[in-house]
Amino acid sequence: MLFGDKTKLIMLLIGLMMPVMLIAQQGGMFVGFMQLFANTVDNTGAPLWIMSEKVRFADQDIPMYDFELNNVRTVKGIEWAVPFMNVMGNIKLPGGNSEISVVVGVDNQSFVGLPQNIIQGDPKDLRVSNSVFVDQIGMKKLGNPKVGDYFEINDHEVKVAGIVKIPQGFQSYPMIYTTYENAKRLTPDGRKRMSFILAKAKPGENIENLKTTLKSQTGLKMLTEEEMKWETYNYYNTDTSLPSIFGMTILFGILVGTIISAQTFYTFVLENIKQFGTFKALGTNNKTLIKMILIQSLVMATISYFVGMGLITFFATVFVQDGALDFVVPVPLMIFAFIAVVGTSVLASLFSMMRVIKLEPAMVFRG
Amino acid sequence: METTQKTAITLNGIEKSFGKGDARNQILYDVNLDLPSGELVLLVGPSGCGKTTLISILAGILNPDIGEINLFNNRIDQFTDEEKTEFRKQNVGFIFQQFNLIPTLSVLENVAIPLLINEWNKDKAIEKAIEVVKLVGLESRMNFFPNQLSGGQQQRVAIARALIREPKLLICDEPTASLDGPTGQQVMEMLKKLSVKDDRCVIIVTHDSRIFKYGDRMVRMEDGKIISNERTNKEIL
Repeated sequence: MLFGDKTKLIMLLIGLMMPVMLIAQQGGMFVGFMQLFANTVDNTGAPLWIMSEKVRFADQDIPMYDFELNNVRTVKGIEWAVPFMNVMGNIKLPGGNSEISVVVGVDNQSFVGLPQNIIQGDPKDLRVSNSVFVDQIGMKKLGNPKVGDYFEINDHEVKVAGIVKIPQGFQSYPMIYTTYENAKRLTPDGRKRMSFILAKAKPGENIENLKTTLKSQTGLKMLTEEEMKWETYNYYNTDTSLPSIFGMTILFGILVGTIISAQTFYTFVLENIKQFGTFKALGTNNKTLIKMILIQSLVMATISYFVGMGLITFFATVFVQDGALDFVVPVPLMIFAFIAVVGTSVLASLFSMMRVIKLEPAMVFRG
Repeated sequence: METTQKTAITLNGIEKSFGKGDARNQILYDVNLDLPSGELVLLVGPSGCGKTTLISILAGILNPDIGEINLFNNRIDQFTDEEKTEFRKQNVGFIFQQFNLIPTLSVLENVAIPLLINEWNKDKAIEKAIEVVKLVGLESRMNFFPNQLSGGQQQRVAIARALIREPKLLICDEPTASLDGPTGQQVMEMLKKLSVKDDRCVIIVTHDSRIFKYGDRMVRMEDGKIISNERTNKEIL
């Protein structure tokens, strides 16, 4: 019956698409943010992360003494361990403006921590004093310098030795990669400079045992790459208001969608009350009538889901350009969106069902 | 003829009121009625006399406050709501003043509804609907939708829908009120021809004196009471 009333069909479609689109869009952005937060981990590709016990996420800089690297290297079960610095730096731009950047210092032998996707340059060039690699997106912010050009970080002149391609981080600062030694020269002095130690366990080593050993010998915390990501996700989930901001928007979408759909469904039932009464008079029981409403509700939810998802995919494709904010809708989020739209639709049709259940079939004889 | 007729409907002491307290409005007062099968019964009376309430109770879609209802040897006043729904599904057909067709369904689908409610296979239901639609002369409009039909045609669809299950009791509420004179006559002729059978009872509520001639019996109501229940004298009519 509902499909015969195009206006209500469209209203219902809009009402039900709202939660789908908001879940996909807001949820997708939330997942995208989470991935951005963990980009530091992804970009290094190191299997183990060793850090001060207080560190709670990948971009947090609670530096350690350099000697702690040697302590780690002495732990039985560690195959190799290298320093990693991840600190802020101030870039002076041509024309006098400045730009905040992230200076990443990596081991000058293994280059562990340097992004794998090198567009231009040779990592060995970083061993030259004050040579840096810049990320492709960051280059634009620096006025598109070329390899061989110079700019200033923290009043130190540096030479662009290469360009790397990385997924953009949350902060979207230019990423400046160099050796650990260079990074120490380019950033403010201090006794503790090393943000993390990147390491690898010996083959066959039990990681849990290694964590315990490392902790007892050095007092440092060790996490696997995956654990480091989750530590970062958990930090942003529990210590920031991001989940509640996105969650509120999604809840609001579900609420508005439910109200619009419920109102549309109810009006539809009221306008067709005579037909429902006729069905009842003819001997249709409440169970069958509820089934009829539910089927229409579920069909609408399914159509709204696919249309909503299609629109979101279209917007994401058209408006989210390469290098901008990641927009990720993983399968669990898709399933959640589907469950939410079905739930919204069923909830919205509940009032209509109650109206039909209470309907006296004798009303068919009233004018 | 009359001696071979069986009693189809018996009502004993039916009373019905709506509202409570000061707002209580009694509609039916001690209604007693015997109707035989094989007749087309006209239920007539002024507006507000309780005709609609009475047919609603007869059809099992409204419960009386007190009284017994015996339809074809079934005490439906003792039935639960579910049992009444099932009884209606099997035994009662309806024709309404405003036709009450489902606008989004075709003629055939509308006619097939009572069979589909009875969980018939859709193909078989449509097959049977085609037969009945032919009986009401709408074979050329089978796939039309109600809004593509005239009032008379819509009422013929409603007749087909009511008759497809061959109900023992057919209740018609002002079936000609929305139709012009000639169309009303056609509809009545069709109703008389197709629905009046020895084992069935057809009750028509009407104000339309032009169709009185089709009735075998006339039951008159006034102020919630039956004031007469007689076979019609067609010559006088």
